[in-house]
Amino acid sequence: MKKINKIIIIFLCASGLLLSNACTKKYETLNTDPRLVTADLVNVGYLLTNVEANGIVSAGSYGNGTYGAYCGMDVRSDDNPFTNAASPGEWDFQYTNQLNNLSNIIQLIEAKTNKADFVNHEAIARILKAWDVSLLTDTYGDVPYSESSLPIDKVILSPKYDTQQSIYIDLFKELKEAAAQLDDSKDSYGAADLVYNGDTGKWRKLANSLRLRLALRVSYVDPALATAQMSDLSEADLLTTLDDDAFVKNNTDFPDHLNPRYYRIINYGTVQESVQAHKVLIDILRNDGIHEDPRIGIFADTVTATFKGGTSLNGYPFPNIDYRGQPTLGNVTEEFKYPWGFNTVSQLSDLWRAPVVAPAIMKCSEVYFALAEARLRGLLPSTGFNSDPNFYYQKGIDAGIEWAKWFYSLVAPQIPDLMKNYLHYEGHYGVIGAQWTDADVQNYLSYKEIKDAKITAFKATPIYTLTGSNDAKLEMIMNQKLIALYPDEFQGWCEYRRTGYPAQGLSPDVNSELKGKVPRREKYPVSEQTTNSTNYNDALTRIGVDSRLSKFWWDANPASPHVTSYVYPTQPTAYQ
Amino acid sequence: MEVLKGPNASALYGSRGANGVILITTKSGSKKKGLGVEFNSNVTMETLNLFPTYQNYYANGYEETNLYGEMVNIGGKEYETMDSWQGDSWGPPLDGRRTIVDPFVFPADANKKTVVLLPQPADNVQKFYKTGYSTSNTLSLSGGNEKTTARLSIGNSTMTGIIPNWKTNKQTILLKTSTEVNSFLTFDAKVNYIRDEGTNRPALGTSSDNVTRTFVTMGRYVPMDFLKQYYETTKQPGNWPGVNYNPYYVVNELKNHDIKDRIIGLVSATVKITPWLTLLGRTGIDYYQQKQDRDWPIGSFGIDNTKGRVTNDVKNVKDLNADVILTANKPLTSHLTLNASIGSSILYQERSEQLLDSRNFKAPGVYDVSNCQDIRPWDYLSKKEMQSVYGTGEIAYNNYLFLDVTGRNDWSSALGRSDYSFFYPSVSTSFVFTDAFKSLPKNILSFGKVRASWAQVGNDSDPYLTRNGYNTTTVTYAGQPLLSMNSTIPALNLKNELTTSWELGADLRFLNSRIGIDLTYYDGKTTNQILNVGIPDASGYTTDVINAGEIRNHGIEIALNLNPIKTASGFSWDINANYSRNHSMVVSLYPGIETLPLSPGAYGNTEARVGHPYGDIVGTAFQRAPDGQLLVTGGSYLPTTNTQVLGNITPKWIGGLNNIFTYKGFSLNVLLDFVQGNKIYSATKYQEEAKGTGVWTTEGRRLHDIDPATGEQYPLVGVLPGVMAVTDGSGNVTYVKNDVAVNGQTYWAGRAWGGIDEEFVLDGSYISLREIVLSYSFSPAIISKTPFAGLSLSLIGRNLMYLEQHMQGMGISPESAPNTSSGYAGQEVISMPSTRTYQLNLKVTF
Repeated sequence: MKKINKIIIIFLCASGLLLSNACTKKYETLNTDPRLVTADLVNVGYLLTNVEANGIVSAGSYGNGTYGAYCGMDVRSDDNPFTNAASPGEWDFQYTNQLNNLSNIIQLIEAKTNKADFVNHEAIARILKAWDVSLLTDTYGDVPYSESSLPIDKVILSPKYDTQQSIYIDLFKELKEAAAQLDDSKDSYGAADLVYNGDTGKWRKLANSLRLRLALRVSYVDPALATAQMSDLSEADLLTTLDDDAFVKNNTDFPDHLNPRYYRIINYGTVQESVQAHKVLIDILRNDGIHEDPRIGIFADTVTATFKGGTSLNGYPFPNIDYRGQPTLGNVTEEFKYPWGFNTVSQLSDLWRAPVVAPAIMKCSEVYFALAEARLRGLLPSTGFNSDPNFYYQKGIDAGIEWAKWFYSLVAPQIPDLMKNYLHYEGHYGVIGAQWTDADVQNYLSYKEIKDAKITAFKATPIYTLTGSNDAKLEMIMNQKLIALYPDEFQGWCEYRRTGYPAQGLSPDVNSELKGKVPRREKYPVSEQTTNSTNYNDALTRIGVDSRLSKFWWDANPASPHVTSYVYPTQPTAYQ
Repeated sequence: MEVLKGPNASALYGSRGANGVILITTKSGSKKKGLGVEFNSNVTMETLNLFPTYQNYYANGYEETNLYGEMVNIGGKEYETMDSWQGDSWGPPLDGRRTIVDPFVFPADANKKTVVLLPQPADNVQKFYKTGYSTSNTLSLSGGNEKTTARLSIGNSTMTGIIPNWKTNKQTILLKTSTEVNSFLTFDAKVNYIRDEGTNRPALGTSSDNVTRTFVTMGRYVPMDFLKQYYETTKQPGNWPGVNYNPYYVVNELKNHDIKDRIIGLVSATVKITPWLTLLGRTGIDYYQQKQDRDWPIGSFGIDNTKGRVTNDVKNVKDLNADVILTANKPLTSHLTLNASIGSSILYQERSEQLLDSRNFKAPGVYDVSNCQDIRPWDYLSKKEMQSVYGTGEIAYNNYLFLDVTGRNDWSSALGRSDYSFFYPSVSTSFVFTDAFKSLPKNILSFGKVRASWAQVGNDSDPYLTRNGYNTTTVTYAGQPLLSMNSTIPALNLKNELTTSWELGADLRFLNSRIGIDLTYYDGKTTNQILNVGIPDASGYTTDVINAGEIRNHGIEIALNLNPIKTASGFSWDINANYSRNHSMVVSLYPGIETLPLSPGAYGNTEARVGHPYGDIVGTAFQRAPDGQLLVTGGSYLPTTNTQVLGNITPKWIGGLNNIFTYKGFSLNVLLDFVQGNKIYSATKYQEEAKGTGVWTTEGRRLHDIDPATGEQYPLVGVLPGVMAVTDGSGNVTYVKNDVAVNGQTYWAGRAWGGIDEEFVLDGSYISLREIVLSYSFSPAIISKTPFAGLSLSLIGRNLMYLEQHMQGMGISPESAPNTSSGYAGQEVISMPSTRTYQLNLKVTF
């Protein structure tokens, strides 16, 4: 028995030893993912590159036709523009991809003992964050801001919605402070910054130009605020040359970094989106019908021969013109459909389907049109700027043409491979198997190339000079601004909501949820109703109904939208 | 095999036993003299049971009329073309009245041929599938002497599937030995090696390579023979109207191959310290390595694949287990017996994966990483350790009254820094009153036992939920590294889950055990669950790891065994029936959180909602008039603005009914399975309604679009049942019967594209004729002159048909939606067509 007792005692001791708490000492290491990069090891440059790659390149300022249909850039034939469905995409993307990482860069730097060495890193993150927040609030209105993206130990699970007004006031402050914070003598991101390679001078210009954009945006609801924000600026503080433009070229290294329009062709083996040039855009570009804008071929393809002149299959006559745009129709009844999109109107130019294009945050041409408007409306300070709105109007057109030439030189070398290897699959170039030859491609490209003679002829027409009443001049500015903003559909939609220009006809889609009206904002994500209901309902007390037709704070221009006298045709009237 | 139900029975197996334990005890060698030989062989044939049904009268296109293609002049006449984007089947009737440019031609014939629109053969898709066959053979040898026994079993099985080129095969080797070294010490060892090999396993679910999915959305004017011919001639998929991905290309060119090698080993030593005290020490390993290679040729679809791609994936899964148990079994008095044990164990789990994703071939057709110009490695490693001590004690009084007590303490590395340790006890008692009261008439009440128990079971979590950091990636932008914040808020103080339950049961047998009934009532709750809760994105994070909530499960289980007929001639009829009904209730989740998404899958949402049973399907419903009639707006149905509960994925009850007839060597089993009262979300219905391929989508469409006499179009006929809201001048709303006719596309597809989830929620109840087994064992008298000791043959049919199902004639199985907590709980996501199998089985012993 003694022996047995001994065995039992040894056994109990052994298991007791084995399982005492001492054995859990290694548990913390064991339960740490070996791949985890912890805060103390983070290089903020890598975070910034990721934010820029996702926010500028992948999400891109390239819309997919939805906002284009509202501002008059382009129309996607399978889209339903007048639905009142919620659109959580921008919300989710900004909060969980952009603002969290940008806030984190700022938080990491603020926690550093040598944070003075990182002023430029912090300032650039603040500028990008201000840009991202403006995209977010210009989409939804009041949004969580001050209680969003806090450090992990201070996180607020149900963040309140800040008013758009208070957000804008903070964005002005951020952009101004960040511009002042930038120090040309100190270290910056370098190559990790895909936009400017860390160039603090250019970032300062971008911060100021974004402030100009946002100041104009509030200029109808609070002109004094707009004037105040412009009062400390001068032309030299802004983006003024193509070299200043804030953009990132796509990269062929990974699929996510390609132009999404190219990506979709390669991914699905066919052009998934049938995108038509908008009637508004084409009508502006056609100018007087003789001296068309030299950029027209950059934006749109010509109408296919079948539908140029003559009579279509259903007995509708087609005008004998090279370019014809598609109005925003929605799901209208049969008699309004003529000449319903697909193949009968101008398609988006294939130049925009090149693998590498240049999605932008902001271009100098936009700055010039902003200055033209600000000068016209008396918002600019008396010094530091030219006194004539027409001066900036023409600078804007010139910059836009220069940009289009640059864009052509960027994409033209990529087009032969695209057309010969991929686009022959696509329907409207002929049925399957119809291949593009080298000669076809060269013809296509030489037709697209911007010719100096056409520029000269175009500039000689009245469209190149502001004339008429102030309102007529504003319409001319906004029409040309649409072309300058192309393909940034979202900014186009913002400008349309703000000014009502370019004017477009109302759709007769009266059975749609929005009754054929252009939406003024996006609805909040449905998930907010269940996961953040108190704050969501609080926001509703300010916006009224969570509808795409509700107007938020800065959307206060009584003249917007301008409706043209244009009447949608009923068959069999021809229209251009 | 032994099933230990619920936490009560499995406290000893730790948190892995929280949902019950299935204990499989493999056969051991026998001590009888000579060599035991057993041979088992079967052949199985697998055929389609249900197959999705399709309409066969409307071509690819839209709005029943136009193809919207360009006009092409052939032989002096203009014909319409059907473009490659004409994906949906809302086009003109296949009534022979239209002639178009034939889209299904080789490039050389493009725009040169015309074709009259006529239906394709009704079984064009079904013919793609084949009959599957499989064979399986197992040989077992066993033998032993007084001290040592051993059993060796080897098996081989092969299968060819119902989708072309799909093959699997499996080999198993099992060796089990036991040696009594002396009266004091026994060694046991077991080695089991299993090799699984698969070739060209088909893609499932939402993958674009899932051919069944391709068919569900495929335009109904697609000549399958041409797709085959095109693939065989060009070895390319081609791009065709209404075809996502040429299925002949998919099954022939997108190859995959996998091998899984698994070793299960166990050694143990039992020391008999005294006749009543035993010490057991054992250690085991369960390890497998799974290698999977996939090939994509140049030209295959998808931007990641189109320049050629090969992936090589290696997974390693390792569980190491060691424990020591001391067991005492001793009569204390003439009436009392004690059976007690204490033990400790350690479990170490390691999961790792290495993936080489290589793209952009230098030379076509060489599927190797060395042939690639773009190589992206990825890896994963997770480790977890659990240490435990446990004890059990049973006191038996006269072998009819039992009291059991267990206790276990675990230390899990996956939990929070100061919360590694958790303890959970159980107590149970049972009373065999027929043994206690010998006077009870045995011919009426043959056996009677009642039991009651209370138990807790703790559970830990997956590793790595307690620290936050940053996600890094091998993806770069123009050579610049990328890094992003992890969007999950970790639980620094993560605690264990705890299930507490009690159970009452009775096992009663009557009339010399001709009638047996086993009743169980249980009631349990799980608290402090480890949940990944979705939080507002606006917080800057998407997920919060929390300990929260309470879910209650209570229900009954009844097993009934009847033997209505038993004759002297050897005929016997047995009925085994079982029934179980579980009520679940989400009592609470987390303050401020009323709903928890369970499977935010591709279709619909399954959620846990406070105050509801677990597993609600949540989505939008039809807009309705106040009296409940469907509301039609502008000719269409519209979804409600807010989501609502559309059903629950959990069955109200499930059951089985097995009738067994035996006569001499013959036996016949007929097994029915019952699942009643659950809902599923059908992706097949969604896709077929969105695309116009479903057989039911012919309703609301014109029989012919153009009147040949006048050349005019016939009027639309799709008037949706329901009412329209009419507002009069003073703002009063009245409802009148809908009279707006729309085309078939608006009639049907609007429900899918418009997102009316209610349309796609179906009753998942069914009764399945699960299995019929007819077998015959030759009597020893017959085979006594042969070398065989035993010989039996059986014919087995499985999944033969549904006696009840509510899939609305779609040709899909209600069982294609899993109702467990998997990723697609309650969602039918277009998997393989449902099949039935016929098996011939031979068993020989020598």
